[in-house]
Amino acid sequence: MYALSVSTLLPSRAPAEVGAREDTPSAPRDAADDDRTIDARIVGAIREGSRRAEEELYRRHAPSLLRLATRLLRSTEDARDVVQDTWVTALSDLGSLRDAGAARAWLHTVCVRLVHRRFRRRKLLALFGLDRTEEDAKLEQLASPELGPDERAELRAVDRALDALPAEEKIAWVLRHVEGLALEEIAGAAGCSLATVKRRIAAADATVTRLREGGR
Amino acid sequence: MSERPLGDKLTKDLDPRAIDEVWDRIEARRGRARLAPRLALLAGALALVLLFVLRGRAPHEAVAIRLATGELLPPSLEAAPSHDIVLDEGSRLSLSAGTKLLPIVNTGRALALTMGPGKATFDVTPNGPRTWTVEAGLATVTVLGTRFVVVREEHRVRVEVERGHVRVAGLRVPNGSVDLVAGQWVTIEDAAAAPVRASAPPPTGPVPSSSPALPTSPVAPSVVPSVSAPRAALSPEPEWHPLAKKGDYGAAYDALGKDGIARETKRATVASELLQVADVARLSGHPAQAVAPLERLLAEHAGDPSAPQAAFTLGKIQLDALGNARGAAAAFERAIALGLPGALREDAFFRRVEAYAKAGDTTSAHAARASYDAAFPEGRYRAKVAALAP
Repeated sequence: MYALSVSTLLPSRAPAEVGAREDTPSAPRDAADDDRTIDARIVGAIREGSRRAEEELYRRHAPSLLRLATRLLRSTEDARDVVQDTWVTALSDLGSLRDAGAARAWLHTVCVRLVHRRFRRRKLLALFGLDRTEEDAKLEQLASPELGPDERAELRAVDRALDALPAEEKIAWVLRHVEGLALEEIAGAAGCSLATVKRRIAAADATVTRLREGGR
Repeated sequence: MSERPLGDKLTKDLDPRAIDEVWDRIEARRGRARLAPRLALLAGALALVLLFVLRGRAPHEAVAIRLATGELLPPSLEAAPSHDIVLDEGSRLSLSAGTKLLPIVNTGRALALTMGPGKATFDVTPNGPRTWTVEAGLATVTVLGTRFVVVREEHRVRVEVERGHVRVAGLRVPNGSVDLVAGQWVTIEDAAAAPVRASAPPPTGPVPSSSPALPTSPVAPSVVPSVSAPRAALSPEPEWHPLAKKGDYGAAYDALGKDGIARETKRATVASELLQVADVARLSGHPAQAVAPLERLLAEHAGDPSAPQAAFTLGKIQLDALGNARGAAAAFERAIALGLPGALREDAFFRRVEAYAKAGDTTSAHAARASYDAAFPEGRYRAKVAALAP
């Protein structure tokens, strides 16, 4: 038995309150503005043909994309593949990015779309008994070194609950509760409506809570 | 109750090698993709569509080139204070003071400019719909997508190509016209100019100072055809160039042949060439051979904007491929001192700690760790840095 409840790890709001929270960007506006300006400059240089700028944009955003993909897919190798695909797609579709300063959000959207595709592929392979994905980056394995044993146990429980979620709900739940994204940001990244996001998160919250309370 | 997301309880540590590895995979894949026949088919189909669309447009004046601001081109383009002239399709013109360009044809298919005395740098967006022509007295330069410089003086015209491909034509151009590729230049002189030495260099030899009044650019290329040396021919574009540009580094390396990297490192005259040679060596699986061009770039072109990234790449090669931790530390020091772009700075600060630690230089490793902690208090490699220099 674990000493902590899942609520120690999760944000305090109840599933029904998901949509009521007032979302605020986590970064200060000035810093966000600076980031947008820098992104716009780099994207401009890429459009002028600079290969070096491509690498600069990659180095700016690859860490957060790799972290996001790893947390969603729970496999370091799959995450690297998805980040690779994200960049190949992004660099060839850069012309469709209308607001160059919004490169970060756009890249995350591409990444989430490819994560979703990867989940579908896994599901298909699993149907034929061919899924060989090594989940070597579950939440518990990604735990910060200073985390205590109880908190690690709770992460393990969340990992088990996430196993039971369909891909769409898992993605929405991780973006919300692990990444701490605002609902609008999740809707943008997942390419669906705000109402759909709320419904997916509520359903995922209910499953996670049920599985925890059921001791599974 | 905490409002913190679960992510705050997870490690933010990332293996920087994963970032490098994925980037190498992306570069390799994009290189292959460029060669994919499917893309060639797609490009052909798009070209047909474009042709169809352009043919359907009339009159052509309706799509004449404009300034990036949307304004029509003025009758005379002149140097803009402290900034380039940017056109609506992305091309840029940089004119020295007093230089004038007169647009004489400006349609959807052609832009012809007459250039007066002075110096102008043209950075033409590749694959545009228009044929660009620059009329500079003794020479007419026809352009596709490229970056090149034209210097027009009273009795001479010099054309230097930094990127891409141009054709220079004129009555006094040997054989009527010459094609120039990146790194090559040509000087055309009229009869009133000082005679040019007849002993023109061989295609890959050193470049004589045939026009002292003109800038003797370090972009010294291969050949100076001139009225007095019409026999001189321009060296053809080396076979490995287009392969490297396509990202087919393995084929480019093979095309260079034995000692090719060393030969091209010696021959290269501009930073971009040295970087390209290093990329061919590095990305074709011969990282040790990339050291020489990168070191030469740092020694001779430290002011070039690509120098900081070259130093960073050199450090990675020394540390990851060659196991030369001391050399790597020096390269990362250099990269930081030269002013890496923001996205690479943290990586360089971290790799410097790693290099010193692997070299067994604990004092320097601790100093480098202190620099990292000061520069990136919330850095993503903090835990790794602490482990390397405890």
